[in-house]
This record gives sequence, structure tokens and C-alpha cells, in this order.
Amino acid sequence: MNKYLFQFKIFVFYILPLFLIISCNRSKPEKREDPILKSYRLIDEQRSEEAIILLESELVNNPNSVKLRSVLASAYAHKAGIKLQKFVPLLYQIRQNLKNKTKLSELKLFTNQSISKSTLVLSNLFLKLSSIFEIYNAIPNISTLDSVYLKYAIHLLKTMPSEIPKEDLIYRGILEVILFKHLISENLIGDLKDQVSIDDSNCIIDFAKIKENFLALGKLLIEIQYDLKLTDSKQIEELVQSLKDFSESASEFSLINMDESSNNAMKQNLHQFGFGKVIQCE
Amino acid sequence: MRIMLILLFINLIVDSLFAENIEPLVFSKNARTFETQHSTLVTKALAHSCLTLTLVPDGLPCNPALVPLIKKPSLSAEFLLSNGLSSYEKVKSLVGGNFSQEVVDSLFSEGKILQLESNLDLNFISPLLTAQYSPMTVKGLSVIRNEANPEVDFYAIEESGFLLQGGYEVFDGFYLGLQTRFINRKFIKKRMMLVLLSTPEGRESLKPKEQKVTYIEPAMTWFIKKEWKPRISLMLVNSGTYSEKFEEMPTPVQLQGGIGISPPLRWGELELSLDYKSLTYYENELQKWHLGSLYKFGSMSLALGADSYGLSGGVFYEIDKLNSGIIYSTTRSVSENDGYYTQTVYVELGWKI
Repeated sequence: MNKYLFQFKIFVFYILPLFLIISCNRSKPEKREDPILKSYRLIDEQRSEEAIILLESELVNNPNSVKLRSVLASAYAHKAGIKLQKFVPLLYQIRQNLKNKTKLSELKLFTNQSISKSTLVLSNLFLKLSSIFEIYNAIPNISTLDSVYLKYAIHLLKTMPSEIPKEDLIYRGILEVILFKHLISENLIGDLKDQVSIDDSNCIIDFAKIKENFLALGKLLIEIQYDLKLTDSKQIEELVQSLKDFSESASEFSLINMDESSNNAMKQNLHQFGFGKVIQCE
Repeated sequence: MRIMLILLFINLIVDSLFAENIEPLVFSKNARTFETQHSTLVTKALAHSCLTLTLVPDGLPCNPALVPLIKKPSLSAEFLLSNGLSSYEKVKSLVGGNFSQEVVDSLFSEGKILQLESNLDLNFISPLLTAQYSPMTVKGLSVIRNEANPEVDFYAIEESGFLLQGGYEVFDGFYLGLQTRFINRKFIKKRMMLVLLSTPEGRESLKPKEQKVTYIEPAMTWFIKKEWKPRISLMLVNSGTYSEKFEEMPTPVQLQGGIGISPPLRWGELELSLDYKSLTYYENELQKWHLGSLYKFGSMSLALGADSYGLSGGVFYEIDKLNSGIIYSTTRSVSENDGYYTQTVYVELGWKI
């Protein structure tokens, strides 16, 4: 009899609570998952399409949710192949580089007496842009189809129902940088793989083409600068002015033929600023 | 007995009313490591269910009212470590204020989850008074979700502290005790979007905060004179003073309760305990229940624990002056089929004279 009483007491005191606690434990994940956490889980499991469906349906019920919209934008970005985890530390480095940015006068430029003032203006512009181009190595190239998703992600972040949070502003800036790269690789230079040889005397820089595409990218670049707070308003004004100067300079170059030595000096400068891979040769 | 049960019940109702409902970013984390809980290996194996445990083999009793039940004075040093050791230097460096690019990169740009706990305790145990000096406790957790636009939940804590316990048997089977804890805490606790780390303000928010705390915690235990030694314990925790309070590190005053029994066995001693206590202070009611069992046979102690955080079990040996133990904990129950779970191994090595 005592044996049965012992077993009964053990059951009541230990086995029963154990069963209850474990049962509670099993139901925990379902209880915890709100739509945003579930979307995170789906995105991390490479199921961004399911995350998009979930978030779209949640947004129908809650159209003013900034957070839902932001996560939906990230789901579209993920669908475009964008993963930011390794990109963020680099962004900080770029900010630091911009703080300590090199002035044109400090660089050993490949100068030539025949180089005009316009060449120096153009070099100055490339120097400013080169810091942005440091991001290139950390982000993947995206396809034309992916760029559609990326553009929609940016659109979602541009049409927030209320004031955009700072973190979303930075995120939008990063997506714009990726789009910027895509637009350049699609429209400006074509093939990024072949680096131009400095010694290739047949390589002539196509300034007319560069002008056309750079001006189109100017607006996007200014938005990036604003979103990422890489510069203050004064610096943005400077950048706008630089683009104007560039436009004038590029017009001059498209009208006149550079001599061989000027062309070579310009190529050397572009290489020095990290643009060796983005020069198109005729 | 009835009054105590009523008190416990009232506390449960009050806690339910004020329970916070915070969705944690972590789907799964170490089941036995919590920001503000300092515990030994055996206590972890018991799922922190130790308020009625008469003797903790590797440390001080959880409940100061049980100090008079200590049979033999001793002096010991115990070192505990969980897996995740490779991140120890990074976490310690960050909480020490060294915010270098390398540390940040290694913490946030690689992998998704990082967890660890390490502590060193020097214990003096006697039936009149117990004391513990913990020169260094380090805990860390970093979890990153949504690889498209990562959100990070991060904490790193470094503590040192001193603890004093004393107890007294007021009348037959009724014990009162008092515990005083002095803690110096340095911590970083933050949930943020990872992109903010690219800004100076984001990095500023990861600067460590410092806190000095003094807790005075009364407790009682009542043994009912039955064959199984049923007992009930109550303890008021986190009542004390703070040099500065921080929202992200809540330690509210709480009345904890526990019941325990010691079924008589032919060989060895068995203690079963069921505790009601908060371990994180942002958990629901079910998460506050913890069940543990400790079986002692000679120099060996076997411990098992279960709560809503997970299951744990391990063994602790005392051979001459040397002692050591190992426990395993998992957040996944046997039949659970969830992709997110954490398994942790803790080891402890000690020297006792």
C-alpha cells in the first residue's frame, strides 16, 4: 500500500507538473510569433516570398504601420538578393574615410601641362565619388529582374505613412547605393570584369557617354548622400555644383579631342581613385 | 501553511496583472543563462528550482533561511563556463568599453547567435554564516534576425559581487534568513537595427552602463513534520538600493515561493522542488514555474530540471578536495519539432577544503 502511495505522490508532485511545464514549452513558439518575427524567420529561412505574402496581408489590416512597411521593404530587398549583415561594418568604415577624406591637392596626380582646368574638376569629382564606390566590393551585383524588386523596396520606404525612422532612412540609402551600382553597371560601363590596362594606348575615355549617364545618376547620388547622412547640406550643395561643373567639363571634352598624353594622365588619375574598372574604352 | 499559500497565490495574481508582454527577438536562447541571475552548475541543472533545497553541493543555498541546516563548514572555489567560449574575449572587450572595429565586426557581421556565461565564485560556508565573493562574472548574448535588414538583440554583462547569508531557527521547523548582496555591474543591453551601427549615435548607444546595487533579501522556510519532509519557502528578492536604475535591466521586487519534498529512499537522498520565480522579469506566468530534482548518492549528485525555458540535466562529483560537474540543457522538448532551439553545455570545476 505504501509503495502505491509513494508512486501516487511522485506522480502528483513531479510527473504532473513536469508534463504541464513541457506542454507549455511546446506551445511557446506559436504563441510568440507575431507577424514581424515570423517574417524575420521566413526571410532567414530564404522564404522571402512567403514573408511578402504575410506582410502584404498584414498591411491591408494595418496600413499605417511603419514597421510592417519597413520589414516588407526588406523582404522585397531580400528577394532581390540583398543581405546587409556584412555590409554594415563597411558602411561605418566609409563614414570614417569620408571624415578623413583626402584632398585632391594631397594626391600625387599624374599631371601634364596640357591638362586643362576641366580635367582637374573632373578628377575632383571622381575623387569625391570614389569613397562611395568603396561599397562596391561588399555588395552583390543584381540582375535586371532583381532591380525591379529593389526599386519597389525603395518605393515602399519612400512612401511611409508617417515620418521615416532614422534606421529606415539609412536602409533606404543603402538600397539606393545598390541600385546606383546596378544602374552604372547596366548603363554606363557595361562589363565590369575587364579592368582597363593603363598601358593600353587604344583606350579612349568616352566622356560623352559618361556625361549622359552620370547626370542621370546625379539625382540618385544626392538622395543617397542625404539618406545616409554622409554629408551635410553644404556638402550636398557642393556636390550639385560639382555635377554642374562636370557637365560643363564633359561637354568640353566631348567637343574636343584630347591628345594622347592628356588621355593617359586622365586614365592614371581615374585608376588612382579606384575607377579603373568603370572606364569604358572605345 | 494556509497563510503562506494564500500569500503565494496573491503574489501570483498581482504578477499576472502586471506581467509585461515583450516579444523577444530571440526565438531560442540558453535555457539556463539569464541577465540578472547568478547561479551555480547544480542550480542551473535544477532549472533554478532551489528555494527549498537544503544543500546545494557546489555553492551557497539559494534560500538564506536554510543556512542553519548546513552540516559541515567549508571553503571552496568554483569556476563555471558554458559553451561559446570563443566569444569570451569579444564580449568582455565590448563591455569593458573597447569598441574597436574588429570586435564589432566579429560580433555582428558573422553568424546569427552568440551566447556565453562564465563565472568564478569563492565560497565560505558554515551553519551560522555563509559568504560568497564573485570577482568576475561574464554573460553575453547576441542574436541577429532578418538578414535583409538585420535587427540585433544584444546584451553583455560583467559583474563582481559579494554575498552574505545568515539564518536562524525561530521555532521547531520554522527558519528565517536574510541575504545581503553587493553587486557592481557593467552592462550593455540593446535591441536595434544593425544599420544604426554605421552611425556615431548607434555606436554611442552600445557604450557600457554601470550600476552598483545592494540587495537585502529576507526569506523563510517552514518544514512540516511528515515522513517526506514537506516544506514551503518564501523569499523577497531584489529589495534594495541602486546607484542608478535602468529600464533595460529591470529587477523588480518580487515575492518568490517554493515547495519541496524529500521522499525517503533506501539508497541516497532525493529532493524534489517546485519554485515560482521570475528569471527574466519579462516573462509570462507559466514561465515562472520551475521544477527540479536532486539525487545525492555518496560523492555524486544527479540533477534534473524542467521549466518553460527548457530541460536540463547533469552530474556533479566531489572527490576528495576536487569537484567537477557537467550539465546539458536544451530548449527543445523531446517531441518538439521546432527548427529554432539551443543546446548548451556548462562545465564546472572546483576546489573545496
